[in-house]
Order: sequence, then C-alpha cells, then structure tokens
Amino acid sequence: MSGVARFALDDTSVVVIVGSGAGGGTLGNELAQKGIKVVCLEAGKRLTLGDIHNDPAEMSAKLTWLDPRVGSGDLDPQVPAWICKTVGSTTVHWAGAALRFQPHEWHARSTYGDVAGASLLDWPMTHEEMQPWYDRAEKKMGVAGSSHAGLPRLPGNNNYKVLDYGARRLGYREVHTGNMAINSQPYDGRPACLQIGFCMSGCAIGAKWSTLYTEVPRAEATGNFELRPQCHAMRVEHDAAGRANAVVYVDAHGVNQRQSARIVCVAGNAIETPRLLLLSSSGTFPDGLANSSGQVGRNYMMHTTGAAYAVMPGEVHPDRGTQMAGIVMDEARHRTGREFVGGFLLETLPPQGPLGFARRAKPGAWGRQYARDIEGYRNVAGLWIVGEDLPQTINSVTLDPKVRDQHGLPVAHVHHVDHPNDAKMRKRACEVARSIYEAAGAGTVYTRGPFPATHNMGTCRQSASPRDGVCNKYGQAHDVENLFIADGSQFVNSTSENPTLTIVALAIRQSDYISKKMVRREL
Amino acid sequence: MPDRRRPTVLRRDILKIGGSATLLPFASVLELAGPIRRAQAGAVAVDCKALDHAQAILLLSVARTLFPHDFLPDEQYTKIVMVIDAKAAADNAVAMTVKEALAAFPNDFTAVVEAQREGYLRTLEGSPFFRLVYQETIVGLYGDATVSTLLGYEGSSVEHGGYLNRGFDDISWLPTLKPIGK
Repeated sequence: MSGVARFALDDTSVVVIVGSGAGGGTLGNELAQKGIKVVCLEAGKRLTLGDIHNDPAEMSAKLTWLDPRVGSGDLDPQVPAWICKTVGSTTVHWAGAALRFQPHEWHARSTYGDVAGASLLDWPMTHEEMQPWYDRAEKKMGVAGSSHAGLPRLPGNNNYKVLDYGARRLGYREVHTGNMAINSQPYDGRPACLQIGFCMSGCAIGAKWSTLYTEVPRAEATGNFELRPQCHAMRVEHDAAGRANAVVYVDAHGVNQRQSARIVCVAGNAIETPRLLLLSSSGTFPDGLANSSGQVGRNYMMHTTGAAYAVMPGEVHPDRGTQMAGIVMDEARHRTGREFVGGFLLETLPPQGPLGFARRAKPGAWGRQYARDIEGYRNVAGLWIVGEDLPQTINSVTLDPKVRDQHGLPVAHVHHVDHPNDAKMRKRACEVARSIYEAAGAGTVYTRGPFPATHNMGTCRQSASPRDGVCNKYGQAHDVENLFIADGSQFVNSTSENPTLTIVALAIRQSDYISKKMVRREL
Repeated sequence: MPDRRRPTVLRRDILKIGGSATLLPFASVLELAGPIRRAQAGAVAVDCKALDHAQAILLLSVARTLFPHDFLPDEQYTKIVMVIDAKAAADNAVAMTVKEALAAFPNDFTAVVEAQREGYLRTLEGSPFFRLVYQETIVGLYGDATVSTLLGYEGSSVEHGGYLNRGFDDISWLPTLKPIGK
C-alpha cells in the first residue's frame, strides 16, 4: 500500500496512540479522517480475514496476550485476565454485544448511595451528553437493532430460542437477540452474518465489526495514519514542563525505538494501560505518569460474571449461529429492595465444543454422570452472566515486584476480590439462569463463576475532581494535558453492559475534543 | 443452497444413552466409532517407551473411569496412555510420578466395578498424578476430532456457508412444551 503514511521517529507533530482496538483503532481513524497525523503502536501482529479460522484453540493461540502476568485474590495466578494481542485487539475476539449504558449507570454513586467497601463515583458527565456519541458509534459499527445503523436485529439461533422460551415462561419481557455489531444485512461494504458461529474466534467474513478491517485500513487510506504492528510500548516520556513528548517502544526486530509525539493516547486495555503509566514514573512523576491521585491501577473492575450450561431434552447444537445474539435484560434494571445494587444481563454463550463444555461446565468434574452429560453435548444450551462489578480501591493493577516480561519490564499484577454485592448478584443470577433452563425442560443445569476476565475496566478512571481519578470526562489526564486514556480504563463503574460500544463512543467523542483543541492550539 | 451437513443416519434407531433423557442419532456414532470394545486387560496392544504393559493397562482403566463413554473403543483411551507415556519417556520426574502412583493402586483395580474404581480415584484427587492424568484425559478425549464429532460437535462451518441455511434455528422440540398456566 504505497499511500500508507510513514512518519519519522523525530516527528514531533504526530499523535501517538498505543493500541489498535476499540479505543485506539477508533480514535486513530477518527483523528486521521480529520487530517491529524497518527502513529499507532500495536504490540500484536496483523492478521487478515484469511488467517481467521473456525478453530477456537488455534485462534486463541493467535489472538491471546500470552506475556506473563500475575493474579491474586479470586483470580487465576497465571491467567488473571484474558485480553488480545493482535491488530484490532479485543475487537477481533469480542462477541459483538453493543449495548448502551442505562441512564442511572452514569451516576451510580448517587443512585446506589454509599455502599460500604465500594469506591463508587458518578461519571463526570450525563447520560444525555453521551447519546449523540452512541448514535455515531452505532452507525459506524453497524449495530443490528439500532435505528442509527438502520439494521434490524439478527435472527435467533437454537441456543437463543431455548433462552427465549424459558425466560418468557418465567415472565421476563425484555428478551431478544440483542443489539449486536454484527451485520444483519450487508452494511458498510461488509457482508451479512451467515450464522457461522465462532464469533469469538474472529469473524472469518468480516460481518462483525472489528477495527482490524474497518477503522485501521480506513485510517491508512487517509495517508495520515501509520500502524506499527509488533511494537510494544515500554514507557511514555515527558519534557521538563511535564508534557508527554515521546513513547519508547521495542519494535518487531527487538530494537528499542523512541517516537516523538505532540499528544499521547493510551489504549492498551485496562490491564496494560495502567501498567504503562506506572512504568513511566520519573523524577517529576515518582508514582507513575498522571498518578498524583494514586488512582492509576486502582478500582479494577471486570464485571460480575458467571455461566450456565444446561442439558436440554432435545438437540440444540449450541455452536451453530451467532454466539451472543440472545439477551435477557429485565434483571439489568436497578431496583431498590433487592439484596444487591445494580443489575445483570444474561447473554447466550455456547460452550464451544465438548472440550469447552467438559472443562467449563463444572471445572474438575469427572465420572459417570458428568460423562453422561457430556454425551448430551448436542442438547446443551448455554449463557453468560454479565453484571455490575462494584469498584473497590483494593482491586488493582500494579507492577509485580518479582516477575518480568521478555523485555525485562515488571509485569502487571492483577488483584481482584468480589465485593459482597458481587457475590450476592452472581448467586442470584445463577439461580435465575437455572430457573430459565428448567422452565424450558432442562435436565442437569451447571452454573459456575467467572472465566478469566475479558471485560477489564476502571484502572484510570474519569473524575470531576483530580483527587478522585486519573482523567477528565474526555479521557484527558488531570496531571498531563496532552496525555489521554482512550480505553475501558477510563470507566467510572462497570455497569451491566458489555463495554465495547461505550469505549467506541468515548473514542469518537475524544477525537472531537482533541481535534478542536489542536485547531485552537490548546494542545 | 448448500448441502445440509448433518450426520448420516444409516439406521433409524435412536438410542437412549446412559439412562438420561438425551436422544442421540446413535447409528452415526456407531458408524464412526466402529465396533464397541469395552476396557479389558490385555485387549489393546500398547507400545510404550517408559511404561510397562501392566502400567499402561492400569492407566487406560483410569482414563476410562474418569470419563466413561461406553460407545468409545479402548483404542481411543489408548491414545491418552500413549501421550502420558511419551511425557514420561521425555521427563524422568513425570515417569516417577506415574509409576509410583500406579504402584500404590489396589491390585484388583481393573477388575472391580466402576463405583469402586471411582472411589479409589476420588482419594487421589489433587495429587500430581491425578492432575496429570485428568488433564491429559480431558484434553486427549474431548480435544480429539473423532470424539468431538461423535459427541455432536460440527466443527468449522465457514467453508459450508455457515449455518444460515443449515439449521441454525432448526430446533423442533421447544413448541411441544406447555406454557405455565396462570
């Protein structure tokens, strides 16, 4: 591609973005479309649609961030969280659920009140303020079920029909195939969904929105955007005035490079973003860049999750069709009088093969009865629980004092323990899931706790006051005016919705803010 | 219209498996699996590097007790034994773990009923030997393409045009359930 831009390492006019996923990829394209020069550093490799196969094991190996990490608390010590390392990042893996936050979730602290042990805060902006940006995000992504994209909802697969039937028998009403950034009709040069399944292994036809084949190539086509794959950011540097002025990274050949920058935007997922800021400590910023509040890496949230698998009385073939196009929303509404604040969603999720079912339905189980249920694999229906996870100061991403990665840098140490609210919500959600499947005639129903988290949030949160968080309502760091947080790290609370749509909406809004500031020479 | 890639059912019989209400088109299972052979000492030729024949037979029985599928021939479980044997041949610590654990097994382990075998294995849960054999068995069995196909996993679909015209919404039994009267 001869038209793709190449910027010099000493070019001080470029915006450097770390990460090419929902936040970084979207922000990069939006800026490039406005004529702003962007260098995007992405730690992972660049795949093509031809590299995407219907093989969860193969694709997991291709997409996963495999660098070492340390987990503690409730987390797996070796795999505390699960994120991607590839161009497009988690937008290659994500299932496509594109849901707006509910109105009350923008002011959770005011709605839920003072919950002991939780570090709740209201967002420094309103629900109304965000709606135009959601409109634009839905149109960009081609969200089925959004009037702004003009796409109808997807048809329901067998796994959805079981959920729908059981939920409606119990009296639930907000049951449908979700708002999904998966084309229900050809849209934006991409084809309609063929009900292939394997969404989370990457969509082999590009019917699901991913920055890999939307934002990134479009940004490149402007001539204002240079993607540098396999380039791992190690440190953000600043000048004597405390302004970010470069990103030091190790390139695909293992050589350290230093890219000058006018503005730096960090979008490395809520695990790697705080890690990078903590790794960027200096004499001026001894506790890490933009961390005068001490909130960098704090308030780590991952949603209150769990799963249910039910052996139904007839065939379901749960792997056929769109994996997450099925949702029960009634329980996501915040209601007083429940034993927990916030709410949860139930979303369809297939076990992804007999091995997935055997390992996940009841981890560690074996024996005749379990083998019998595995023999019923054709009949299995499955769902995922996604609920609000309350922020807690103790839940955090810090630099591990012992373990270092292949570049010699301290790895992320991720710590998470359930708030009592999380535990009560998960218990209730598992009961609801069981009831739904039993109402549809299930035999055995297995419910279980979280998988390693794919939804990571809150570790550089927005706040009205610089004391309470890391960035303002535009993701701009309180301490460093030309440093931006462009991913789920800036979330104030987890809400019960999958985070991607909001990350994209925030990135579009941030690009508008940055470009206006640049025009006015304020950045 | 893409062809409907459903399992070929040669015989019309639908068998109940394991006493559950699960209905499977079993003829296709038989067709793919070949003749059913139950675990019997000496029934399978095992060419091991690190383990002796008796140890291999014992491991085969352990694997089948962990995840007993009567329709699977011993050959399927033997593959798992071979993987463990290869690991033992490559790593002396693994060989010691396996051999020492097997040496402590009751002499009649392969001869007693499944409930007794299961009872003994429950006492080993959490041990390095158990974790090793459990991990290799669950991956070796359900990660195996033949077994996962037998269990109804249909694998890659993109080359067949997905399931849009091949049954993604073909569920037929749900409407027969009666709504709860209120």
